[in-house]
Amino acid sequence: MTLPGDRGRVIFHAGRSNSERTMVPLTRRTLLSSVAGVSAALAGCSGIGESDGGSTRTAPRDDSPDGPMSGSTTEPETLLLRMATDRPPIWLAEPGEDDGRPTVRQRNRWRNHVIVDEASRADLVTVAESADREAVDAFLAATEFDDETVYIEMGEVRECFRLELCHVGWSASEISTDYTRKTRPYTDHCEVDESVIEARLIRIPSPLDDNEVNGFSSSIGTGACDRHRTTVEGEGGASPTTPRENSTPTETPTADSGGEQ
Amino acid sequence: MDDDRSAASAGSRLTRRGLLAVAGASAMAGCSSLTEFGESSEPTIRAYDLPDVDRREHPEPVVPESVPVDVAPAYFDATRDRVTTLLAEIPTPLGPEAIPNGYIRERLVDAASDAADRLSEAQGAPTQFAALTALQRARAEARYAAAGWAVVAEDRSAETLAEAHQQVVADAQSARTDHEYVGSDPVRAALVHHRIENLLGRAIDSDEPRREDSRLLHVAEWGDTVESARAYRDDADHLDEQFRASLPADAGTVEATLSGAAETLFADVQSQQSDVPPEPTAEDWGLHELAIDELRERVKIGPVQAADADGPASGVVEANRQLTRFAALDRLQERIDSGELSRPESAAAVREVRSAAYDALETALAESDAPELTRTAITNAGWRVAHADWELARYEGEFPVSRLDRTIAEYAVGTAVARVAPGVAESTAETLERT
Repeated sequence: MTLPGDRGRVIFHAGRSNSERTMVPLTRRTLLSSVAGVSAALAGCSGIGESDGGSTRTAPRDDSPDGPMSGSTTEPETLLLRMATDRPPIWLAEPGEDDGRPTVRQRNRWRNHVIVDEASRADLVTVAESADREAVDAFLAATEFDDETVYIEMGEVRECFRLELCHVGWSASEISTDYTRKTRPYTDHCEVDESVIEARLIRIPSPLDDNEVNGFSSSIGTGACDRHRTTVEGEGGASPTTPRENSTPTETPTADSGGEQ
Repeated sequence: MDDDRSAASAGSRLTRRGLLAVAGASAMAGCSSLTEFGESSEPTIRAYDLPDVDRREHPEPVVPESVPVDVAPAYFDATRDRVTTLLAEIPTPLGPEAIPNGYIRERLVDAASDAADRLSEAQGAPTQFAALTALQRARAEARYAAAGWAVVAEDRSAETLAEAHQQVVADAQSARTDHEYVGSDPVRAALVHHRIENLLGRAIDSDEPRREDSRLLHVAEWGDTVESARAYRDDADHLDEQFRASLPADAGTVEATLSGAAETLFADVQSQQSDVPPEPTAEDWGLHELAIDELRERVKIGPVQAADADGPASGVVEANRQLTRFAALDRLQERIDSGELSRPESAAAVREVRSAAYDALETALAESDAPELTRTAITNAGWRVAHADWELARYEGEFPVSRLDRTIAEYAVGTAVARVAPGVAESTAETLERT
């Protein structure tokens, strides 16, 4: 799957085989789905739930060479949860385990994902206490699983930054995301060395099958998203600045030192 | 100049190497053990025995740049005042109550601290010109911090700074157009006007800053850009004033002399261009191939015509540099052909190669008939030697002597450039005087 505008960006890639997947569902997911990140000792959880993202749905491209299930959109419907935690804040409950929440060890260099492809699976979606459970439930409840899939992607980001989802692409077997890292306004209190988790529920307008999706990639750049946007944050209540058209990704984290910094 | 401290006690050297020598550049990686070269019949060298070079984080200039004009003490005072005034605009300490975002706060604090570092660097600078250069950075960093803070304090906009920058660029453009090439001694005039052309060129070519998605940091970047451009312009003006003041009352213009000499010198550059040897064809490059190629590559990216330079004075200086490289290539080839340049096979021989480079640089400045012109042609050779020192400090353990080839090549190139530079400078001076 090609990511638009991925030049200069680090592409994190994780693949897995179906057989691995069936044998060790949770471990496999946490171990193999890893992309990159840094481990930081974080204490306490203060959940912030916020909705972002757009309003347009993109129809699956039935004529796509990648197959009827593939498509991409720059403005998927999303729900963002941002919180200070050291473990994945959203997970699928596993029968027979305590609560199934991945441990710090399992989170495996922060980049984690869950595919919710049917209503029964939505029932297993569990969120950390500090997270906005109601918002997650509402988002899942509003999903038509016959036609749609919820892709939950979680990753670590430095507290003074936030990620903006530029693009999500999918096929029957792969999902890719592309983010840009934005500096938070100077008026926001944050510590330079702290990190938080951003968990995004992304509604993909195709009925993907969790068992079939075995490739994940994600890239994080800086600068403007590769799409036409006219809103740029102002700081401290200042008026919006002009749209950014020519900026290029400049800081590219390495896969070894952390996905986002 | 030679900071070889071979007399230092073995104990202290061991400690320094042992404790401070972290595996550095990739070129050195894995060179701490002999095992993988166990079969080799090559002599080996122990890093312990190499010249004990200070292990600096960055190479430092061996031949600092200068300009044959006195900078007025009052000008230095005013420039330092500019930096301290800018820094005084920022509250100290700059805490979270002033700028809650820790990352943005850190960027401003770092810039202010860099500005202070550059101020002290200027105090200890080896030449007045090096001090000016350090103060240019000090101004830019201080303005970065001050402009960023002004977003908080008074809602400073990038537009205001962008307009100010446009003005500075326009002023520098007219200064370049109107620049009078006054002078009496054409060599000195070339050197001074070269710096002025260069500074004005930097003011004019200063690009818009890179985009920052934080408005505050974007304004800070603009502050840096506008202050740098202004500093270049101010320094150019001051050098021009000081130079004029130093000239006899009847000094005229030397523009035709400079342009004519630049054309003559570049004609020479072009005629020598075809003599540049092709890339060495040997499969395995040793010291000879590395040394020739280092210089050959440098020649290839050098200017080939007067129009490539910032102006006629820079044309003279650039052509002189290029001619020096051609002569150094010839000298290197001669030394190779006569068997004088060979791979040092002992630490003592490495020491000699290094001393020869420092000696050549010192002699070039001390014995040249045109020392300041020579200086412009060997500054880069000085950097080369500094870089070789930087590498030398990073070898560890015991290793085959060929491992040092690239470092030795740098010393050899530096030496060759320094040895030929005075002669070439003398010839360039003659061309200037004849024109």
